[in-house]
Amino acid sequence: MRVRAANPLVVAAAEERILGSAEATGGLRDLFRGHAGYVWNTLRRLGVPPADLEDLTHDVFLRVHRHLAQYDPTRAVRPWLFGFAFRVASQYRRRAYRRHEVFGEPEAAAHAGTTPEEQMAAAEDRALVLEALQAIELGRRAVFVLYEIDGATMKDIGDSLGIPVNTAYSRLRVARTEFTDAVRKLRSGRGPR
Amino acid sequence: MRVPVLPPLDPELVALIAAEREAAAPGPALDRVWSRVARSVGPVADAEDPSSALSHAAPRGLTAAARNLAVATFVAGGVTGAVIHAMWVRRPVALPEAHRPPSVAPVVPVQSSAEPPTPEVDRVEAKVPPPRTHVPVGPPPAPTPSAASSLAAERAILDRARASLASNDGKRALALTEDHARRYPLGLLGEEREAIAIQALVLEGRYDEARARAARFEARSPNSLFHPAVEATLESIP
Repeated sequence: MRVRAANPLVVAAAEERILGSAEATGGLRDLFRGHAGYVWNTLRRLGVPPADLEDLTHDVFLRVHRHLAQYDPTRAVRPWLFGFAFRVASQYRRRAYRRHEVFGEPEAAAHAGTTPEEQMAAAEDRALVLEALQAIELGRRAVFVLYEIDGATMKDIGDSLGIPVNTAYSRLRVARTEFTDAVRKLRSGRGPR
Repeated sequence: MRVPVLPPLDPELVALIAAEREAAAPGPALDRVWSRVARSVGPVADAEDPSSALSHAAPRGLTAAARNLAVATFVAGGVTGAVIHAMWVRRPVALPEAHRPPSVAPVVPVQSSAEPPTPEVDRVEAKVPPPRTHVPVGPPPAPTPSAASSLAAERAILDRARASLASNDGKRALALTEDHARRYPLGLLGEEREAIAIQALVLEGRYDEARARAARFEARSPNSLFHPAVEATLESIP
């Protein structure tokens, strides 16, 4: 297995695996306190518009509540939560499609940067990432987000999405190409910063 | 198993992704979500002991009246949360204009039939009833300051009525619901008021009045979310 030593999230994921167990058994409140922001941002990355983020975050945690007893404490909690968020976002997307509504791109989240200029630059970067993510089919985007943003292992990604690890790899490869192309295209449309 | 090797991402993309990784979620919005979640999973979720949030039902040994009160409180809180949320959710996100992403052509949803994602939770959730969903409807009108303050005032009266019920003071709860009806005959929380009033009547032993009021409630609001609570209240009549 390839070791992603350069990614600091590997360490965080290992810690989270331990933390996740305590939080899951500690109750929904602690789970929410520790990971609601993560769920919120995951839904954003999966394309949920800002106006519906509160509703869908609520839905995710209701589902989590119903299935809390099924949480396997040997697994990292965030990929497990991601599975719920992915399911909710997929259903939302299908409903929006049936209603012929525009499934708009999500708005960039707030960020506590240092200077206003840095905050603005970071916000622009996040907006660009979110727009580029929209170019990736949802199933592949899920793998991309889990791997590149969340730093999840391929094993956890496979478990979370119910797919073989090799499928996750192939989805990631395609998603990377799509993401790279989308960023290039968006940047050329915007001109130099 | 032979593990595929992935080339490293372009450092520029890595930097972009790192920026998104640092994104923070809005605290007040999450507070509102937790408030709704706690109401939806039941009153026990707000107890001091976090593990109590895992309880799905009222504890064994409660009286029927107490169970019904729990049901009524739960449903009442949920609807109130939904109303308040509906008023909140349309507020624009307070981001500077310069931070907003430029609009692009709408993204056509891609059907995932070619390679359908089948997360583990799909299989699990096929065994449980479909969850309550929040299908976004048309945008509700933005609340005016007076509407918002009216809602808060309505909420305050009914909170006191519910507290009276909790302390077995049906008379006071009833008086408060009458006060609410007098002040807000077309109020937003009329259905919640009726559910509390019916509960108060039962608590006072005024069973016939409770049944009659429940029948009127059923006729007037056949699709109310409070029906389960009202039915549970009536079932507790000896």
